[in-house]
Amino acid sequence: MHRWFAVARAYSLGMLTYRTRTLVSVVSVLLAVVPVYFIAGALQPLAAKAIASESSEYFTYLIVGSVASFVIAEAVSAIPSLVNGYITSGTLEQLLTTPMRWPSLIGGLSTYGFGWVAVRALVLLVTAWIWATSTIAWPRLLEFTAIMALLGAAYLGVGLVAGALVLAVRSPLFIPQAAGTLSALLGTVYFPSSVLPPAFAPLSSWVPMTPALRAARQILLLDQPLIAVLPDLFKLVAWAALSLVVGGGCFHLALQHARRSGTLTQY
Amino acid sequence: MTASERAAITLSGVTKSFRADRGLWRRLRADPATAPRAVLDDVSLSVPRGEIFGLVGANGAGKTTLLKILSTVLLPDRGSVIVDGVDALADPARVRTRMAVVPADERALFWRISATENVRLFASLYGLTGSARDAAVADALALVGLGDVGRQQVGSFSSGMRQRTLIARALVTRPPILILDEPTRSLDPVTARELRRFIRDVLCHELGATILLATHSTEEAMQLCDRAALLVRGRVVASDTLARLHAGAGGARVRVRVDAAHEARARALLHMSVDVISAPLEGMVTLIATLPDMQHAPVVVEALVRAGVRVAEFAPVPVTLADLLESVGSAPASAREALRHA
Repeated sequence: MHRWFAVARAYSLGMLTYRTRTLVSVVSVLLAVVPVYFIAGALQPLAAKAIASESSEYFTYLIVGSVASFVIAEAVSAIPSLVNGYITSGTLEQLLTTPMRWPSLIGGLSTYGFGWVAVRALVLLVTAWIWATSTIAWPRLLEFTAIMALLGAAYLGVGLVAGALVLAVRSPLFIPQAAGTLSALLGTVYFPSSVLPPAFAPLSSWVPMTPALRAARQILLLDQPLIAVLPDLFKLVAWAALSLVVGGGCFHLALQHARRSGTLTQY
Repeated sequence: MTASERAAITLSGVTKSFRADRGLWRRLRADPATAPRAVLDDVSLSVPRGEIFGLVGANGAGKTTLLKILSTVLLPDRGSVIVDGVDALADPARVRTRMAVVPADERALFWRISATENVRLFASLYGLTGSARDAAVADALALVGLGDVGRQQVGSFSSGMRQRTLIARALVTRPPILILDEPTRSLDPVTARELRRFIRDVLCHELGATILLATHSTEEAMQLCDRAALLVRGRVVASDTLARLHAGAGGARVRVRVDAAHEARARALLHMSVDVISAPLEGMVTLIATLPDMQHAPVVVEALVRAGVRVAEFAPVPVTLADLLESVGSAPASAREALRHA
């Protein structure tokens, strides 16, 4: 575990030197809330009934959806992006000449990204809390965070598969974009599955985002007891386990392939 | 104790091929351009403990590929690799604890953090923690002369300082085997000379490390290495002590600068193969002659002076990679010719 922390520390110290980028990132989150606030306000009368089981206010419904979007964007795209960059610089190869195993390496390199997602999510939630007419159940923040962590794990497998493809063929193909787009469309980020066309509505339940967002909103926005969201949590845990096993297996095989074919480095 | 146990590194019959183009679509179409190309062909060599062993070859000879196989990030198609008595193919994790690699590319450092943090990271990855780690980091940085600037970002360093940071990073756990991939490639001549001195005096003699050094510079190999292997297009064409390789390169070449008016007399006296004659410059002409060995040098100088030839310079000419390859004879003529003009 200390190797994981060592990589996370080194990577984070490097990233924290990008002060302007960090500031711009926070400001852009704040600015993004403004149009969401006004659009959500305008659509509130139309959306109120459809979202009632998850939120009383469309604005907070969208804010929680946005937080989940941050999480899955990081989960599906961080690993292929890091692997690609570190192959090009030779850093990946160097790190793999040490006694460290790849899960510590990937975990360490991803820690800062997920930490930064947590900061931006908190900024978003605090801004929403200030502007929203409905309340946010702050005492339930820990449970909400755990649900978001499970959501991240459920999509991390996609990131690992994309990273594996980068190792093997130097391209993640379309996997991160496809996972992000499908989840945004089918996963109730912007609208409930009830408003989807009948042909697509059943697909929504097969996207890990759907149970995660339902549980997260019921916990944070409606202050529902944990037992009320247990079925969704079980689904999410199953998704996370499956995703990590499949993604981890693919990454491991790709690493073996890269060691044979020489794609671990940029020639 | 077997020979392979006595040696720090033993390679037997190592062969490796790569696909020339790894593009997915070309591979799916089975494009002939993606056919595997041999990069290493039946490479066998043995690196004795406590020595500096040179892996000498032109660009593309397969040096870096061989180092990658040794450092366990690349698997050979065939052959065996024994590092410090451990089979690198069967137990790569153990091999990684016994050696460290100094890559040719400075970009392998984390440029946005300090040298101390870079070295600390690697110390942690090798299992050091707490005060033992901090002491090892400070020692490694002091050893390479970066003790005072350890807190500075690596991105603000010169190439020489970055190279030293890479060495400090590799040295932090004091591994018995160090692999250096063209360590002076991007350095100016003065810094390169300092680094070579450091490698020979500190790393090898003081710390007793076994060093495998890949280089395309025979000058560097001559200065540093006890032994060397010549690699040409993935094959080891010679492997011996530098003295024997040097002797095999056809004796000692000397550069003799004499008064242009005495050129004919000098050539007659030298009566040996004179390879190159420069155009007269400031009344002097330069001859490159080959002596049987450097022992003959004083006799030749004396003969020239007695004959009234004004000698402005009499100096040995470093043996080039092309000379070594020519002496080996088995290198392809085209490769020798290309190297001569490189």
